[in-house]
Amino acid sequence: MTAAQQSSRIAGVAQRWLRRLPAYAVLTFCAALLLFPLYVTAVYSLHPLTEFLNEGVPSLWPSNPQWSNYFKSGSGVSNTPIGRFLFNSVVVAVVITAAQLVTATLSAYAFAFLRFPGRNVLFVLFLATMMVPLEVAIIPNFQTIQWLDHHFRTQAWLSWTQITWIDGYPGLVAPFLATGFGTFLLRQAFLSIPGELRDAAEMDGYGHWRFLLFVVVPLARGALATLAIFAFLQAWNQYLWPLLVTNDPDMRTVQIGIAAEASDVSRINIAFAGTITAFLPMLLLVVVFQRYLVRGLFGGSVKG
Amino acid sequence: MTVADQYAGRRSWAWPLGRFLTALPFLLPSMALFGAFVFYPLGKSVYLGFFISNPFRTRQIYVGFDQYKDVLASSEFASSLLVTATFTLYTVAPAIVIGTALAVLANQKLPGIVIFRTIFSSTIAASVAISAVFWLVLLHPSIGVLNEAVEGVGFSRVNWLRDGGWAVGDRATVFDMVAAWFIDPNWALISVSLATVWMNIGLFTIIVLAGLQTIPEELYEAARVDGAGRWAQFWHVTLPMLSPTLFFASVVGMIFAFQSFGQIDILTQGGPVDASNVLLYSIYQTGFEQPFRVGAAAVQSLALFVIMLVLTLFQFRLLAGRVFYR
Amino acid sequence: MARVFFQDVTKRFGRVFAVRELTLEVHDQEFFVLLGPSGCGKTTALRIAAGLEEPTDGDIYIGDRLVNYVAAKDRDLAMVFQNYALYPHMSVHDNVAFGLRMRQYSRSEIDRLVREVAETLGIGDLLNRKPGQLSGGQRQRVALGRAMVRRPQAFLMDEPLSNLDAKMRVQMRTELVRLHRKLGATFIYVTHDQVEAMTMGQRIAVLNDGTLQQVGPPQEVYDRPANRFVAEFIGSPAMNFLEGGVVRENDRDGIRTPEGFLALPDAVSAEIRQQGVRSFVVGIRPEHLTPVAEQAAAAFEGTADLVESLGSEQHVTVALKETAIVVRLPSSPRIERGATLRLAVAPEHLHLFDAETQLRVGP
Ligand SMILES: Nc1ncnc2c1ncn2[C@@H]1O[C@H](COP(=O)(O)OP(=O)(O)O)[C@@H](O)[C@H]1O
Ligand SMILES: [Mg+2]
Repeated sequence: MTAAQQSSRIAGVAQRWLRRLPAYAVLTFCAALLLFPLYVTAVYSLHPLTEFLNEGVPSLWPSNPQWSNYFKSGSGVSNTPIGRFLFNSVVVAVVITAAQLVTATLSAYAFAFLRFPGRNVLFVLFLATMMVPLEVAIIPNFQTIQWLDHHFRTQAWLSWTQITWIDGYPGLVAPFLATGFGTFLLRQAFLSIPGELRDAAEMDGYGHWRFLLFVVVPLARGALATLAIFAFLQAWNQYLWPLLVTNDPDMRTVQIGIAAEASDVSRINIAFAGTITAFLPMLLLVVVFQRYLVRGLFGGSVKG
Repeated sequence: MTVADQYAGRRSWAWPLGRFLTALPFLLPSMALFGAFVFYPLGKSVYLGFFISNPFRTRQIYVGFDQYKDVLASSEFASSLLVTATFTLYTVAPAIVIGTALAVLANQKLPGIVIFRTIFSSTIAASVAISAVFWLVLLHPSIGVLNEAVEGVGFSRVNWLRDGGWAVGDRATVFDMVAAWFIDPNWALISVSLATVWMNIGLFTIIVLAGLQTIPEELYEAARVDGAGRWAQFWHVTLPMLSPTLFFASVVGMIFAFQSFGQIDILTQGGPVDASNVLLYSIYQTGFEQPFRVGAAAVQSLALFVIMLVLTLFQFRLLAGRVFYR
Repeated sequence: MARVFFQDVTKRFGRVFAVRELTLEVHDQEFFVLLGPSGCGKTTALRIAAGLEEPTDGDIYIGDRLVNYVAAKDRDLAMVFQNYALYPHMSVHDNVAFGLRMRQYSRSEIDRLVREVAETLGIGDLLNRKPGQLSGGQRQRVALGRAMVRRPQAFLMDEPLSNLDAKMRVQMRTELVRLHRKLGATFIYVTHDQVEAMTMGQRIAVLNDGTLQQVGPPQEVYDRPANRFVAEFIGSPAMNFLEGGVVRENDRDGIRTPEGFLALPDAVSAEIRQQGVRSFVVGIRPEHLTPVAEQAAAAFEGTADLVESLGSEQHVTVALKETAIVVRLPSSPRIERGATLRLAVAPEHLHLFDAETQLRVGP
C-alpha cells in the first residue's frame, strides 16, 4: 500500500466519523438531559450538610465529596435502616419473581401445549386478570390479609407456623405470585416452539413435566428472562401495597423507606445517599438485562 | 366383548376429563391465586359498596345502592376524575413522544449505540419513590436547581409557603418546603407529571425499540430505492409500522397513569386542595385515612376498574392480531 | 411382528374429516408409502399410528395387539418428522441420546449406541454440534439417527425429505432404501411426491380427502389406477383426459370423443356391455401417444403449442380441436412450435373411467 493510498484511507475514516458527529452530539445531549436528575441527586448525596444550610442552591459539583454519607447509619451500606429496607425489598422482589416464573410457566404450558375442555374460557379469565390491577382490589385484599393475620395469630392450629401477614413477607408478596401478563408472554413464546418437538418427546417417553423441564424451559429462557426482569422491577417498585401492610419500620421496603428518610431534613444528604444506593442495583439490573427487556417484549423470543 | 368395547365408555367422556385432570396441576397455582386476590376481591368490592361502616368498623349499615349513587355523584369524585384525566394527558403523550424520539435516535447503526440505548431505557430502573426524590431535588424551593434556571431565564421564583429555606423550622419537612413549589395548583400536578414522565421514558423507549425491531429492514431498503430521505423514511415507513406499538404504549401509559400513587404520596399528598388528588389517591384517602369509609372507597375502586376495563378492552379490540398475536 | 393395521379408522377435527374409515394393512418389514396431496390426511393417519392422536373411531393394531389406548412411548415405534424436530439447545449426541435416557440404559451403553448409529449414518464427527450448525442433509441424518437408536419395530416418516434440496433428496432416497433393507424394520413413509412413492415404496397407498383410493405395488398403481384421481395424481406429466361416449364404428367398439374415435380392446368392450356404462372419461398417459406418418390411421391431429425440452426427452403440448393433450417424446427429432402432429395410441393403453363414479372400468 502506498503512502498516498494509506493517507486517503485515513481521510476516509476521519470523514466518516466527522459525518457521525452530529448524531453523537444529539445522543449525548439527550442522555445528559435524561440523566440530569440522577446527577444532581448523586452530587447532593456527597455534599456535607452545611452545603444545604448556605444561601442559594448547593453546588452542582462535588467539590468536597463526603463518601462517609454512604456509610452513616441510615444510608446505603450500613445495616439500618436503608440496608434493612434494601434487604426487605430484595426478599420480596426475589420471592415474587421466582413465584411468578413458576406459576406463569406452568399455566402458559397448559395453554400452549395441552388440549383440555374449558381451555379458551380459562384463558380469557387469565387475560382478564390483566385488566384488574391490584390497585382496584386493594381494599378487599387488605381485608383478606388482615383476616389471615388475625387467624394466624389467634388460632392455635395456625399460629405455630409463626407466619405473620401484616408486617411480614407473606403479606407483602401474597397478591403478586400469579401473573396474567406473564402467562400471556410465556404462552406466546411457548407457541413458537414447534409442536413436533412435543411429539418427538412424547414418542421418546417424556411426559409433560419432563418435556417442560428439559425442552421448553431451556428453549424459552429469553422470554423467561424478560418476564423475570419485568416482574422484579414491578415488585421492587411497589409502593401502595407495602405502605398498607407494613407498619413496623423493620419491615418497610426500600421505596417506603426512602420516602420516610427523605422527610428527615436534618440528614437530607444521607437520604439522598440512600436513594442513590437503592437506585444503583436496579440500574445495574437494567443495564445487564437490557436486551431481554427489548427483545422479549413482543413475544416469540425463542431462537433455534 | 372386545377390548374396544371395554374402552367405549372411556372414549365418550373419560378422555376429556382425563385431559382436564392432566392440565389441572399446571393451572391450579395461578387459578387459586387469581381467585383469592383478583376475582374474589372484585365481588367483595361490589358487596362492600352496599354498606356504610362506622369509623371503628364495628357496625355496618346496609344502604343498598345509595352509596354508589352518593359517591359517583359527589363533587370529590368528579374532581378526582378530572384530575386523573388531566394527569393522564400530562403524562402519556409527552412520555410517548419523548420515548419514541429517543428510541428512534438509539436505533441508528452507530458504534457504541448500545450505550445510549441503555441510558435511554435506564429510567425504567427508577421506582416511583426514587424518581420522586430525584425530582424533589430539582423542584425543591431552596435547593432546587430548576428554580434557578427559571430565574435565570427571567421568570420570577415561585412563591414559597415559608421564607428562609427548608432548614429554618425544626419540624418542617422537605415536603413542607416543597409544598412551596407545588402550592400553585397547576404547578403541583405538572410537577408530579414531570417526575412521572421522566420515570416512564425508559419503559416507552424500550417498548418503541422493541416495536422498531419488528419492522423489516427491506421496507427501509425499498424506501431508499424509491429515493426517500431520512425524514421520508421516518414518516412513511417507521411511523406507520410503529402505529400498533404506539397505540399499545398509549394504553399502557394510560393504565399506568390510573395506577399512579407513590409519586403523588411523596410529592404532594394529593394537594394542595385536591389539585393533584387522582382517583387512586382518593381511594386510598377514603379507605385508609380517617374516617375509614371502606364502602365508599370500594365504590371508587369499582369505578376505576370499569374505566380500566373499558380502556383495556379497547386496546384488545384494536390490537388483536397486530401486536401480540401472530 | 410389526404389521401395522388400521381398521375403519376415522379422525375428525370439529367438522373436518381428516381420515375417513381407513382400513389398511402394512406388512411386517415392508417399505410402505402413504401418498396424497397436501391436506389429505397422511400426517393424521401417521400420528394416529404413532399414538400422538386418538382416532375418533376405529382401531389400530401393531402386530396383533390393539394399541388404541397404548401410550406413544409404549408402541415401540419411532417417528421422523418433516422439520426433523431436533432439540435446538442440545448437541447432536444429546439429541440422539434423548430417547434412550428415558429407558434405563447405562451411560456407557448410551454412548456406544449413539456412536454406532452415528457411524452408520456418517455423522460421527458432528456429535458435538448443535442442530443450528448443521446442513439440511445432516439434520436429516440426525433425525434418522434419533429414530434408529432405539431399534423400534417400525419407523414412521412424515415427508422427511421435503426440506432438502433436489440433489440431496435423490441421494437420501437411495440411502433410505438401503437403510430399510439393513434394518429389516417396517417403514411407513408419508409423502406427497409421487416420484418418492414410486421409487421407494414396495407398496403405496393413495389417499385423497381422508379417503383411501388405492393400495398396491407402485407399478400396479401406475398401470391400473383405480380411479380418475389416482390416474391424474400419479405420473408426470399427468395423464390426459378426454370425455366421450361409447359407439360402434366399423364393427368395433370405441369411444367417440370430441377429438376423434378411439378403438377399445375386445376385453374392455365386453365389460362395458355388461356394466352398461354410457359415458366415459378416457385417460391416456403422455408416453403412450406416438406420432404416426401421414398415411397411417391417427387418433388425434393437432399443432404443437408448447415444447418443453428436458434434454433427455421433450414434452409437447398439442392443441387439438377443443382441448390440448401432452405428449412425451424422445428428444430427437426436435418438434418445432406450430408443427402438425398426428398421434396414435394403442387400445391397450387406454384407461377408462366411468364419468359418473370416476371409477376404473375394465381390466
Ligand atoms: N389439529 C388439527 N386441528 C384441526 N384440523 C386439523 C388438525 N390437524 C389436521 N387437521 C386437518 O385435517 C386435514 C388433514 O391434515 P393432515 O393430516 O395434516 O394432511 P397432510 O399431512 O396429508 O397434508 C386437513 O384438512 C387439516 O386442516
Ligand atoms: Mg402432512
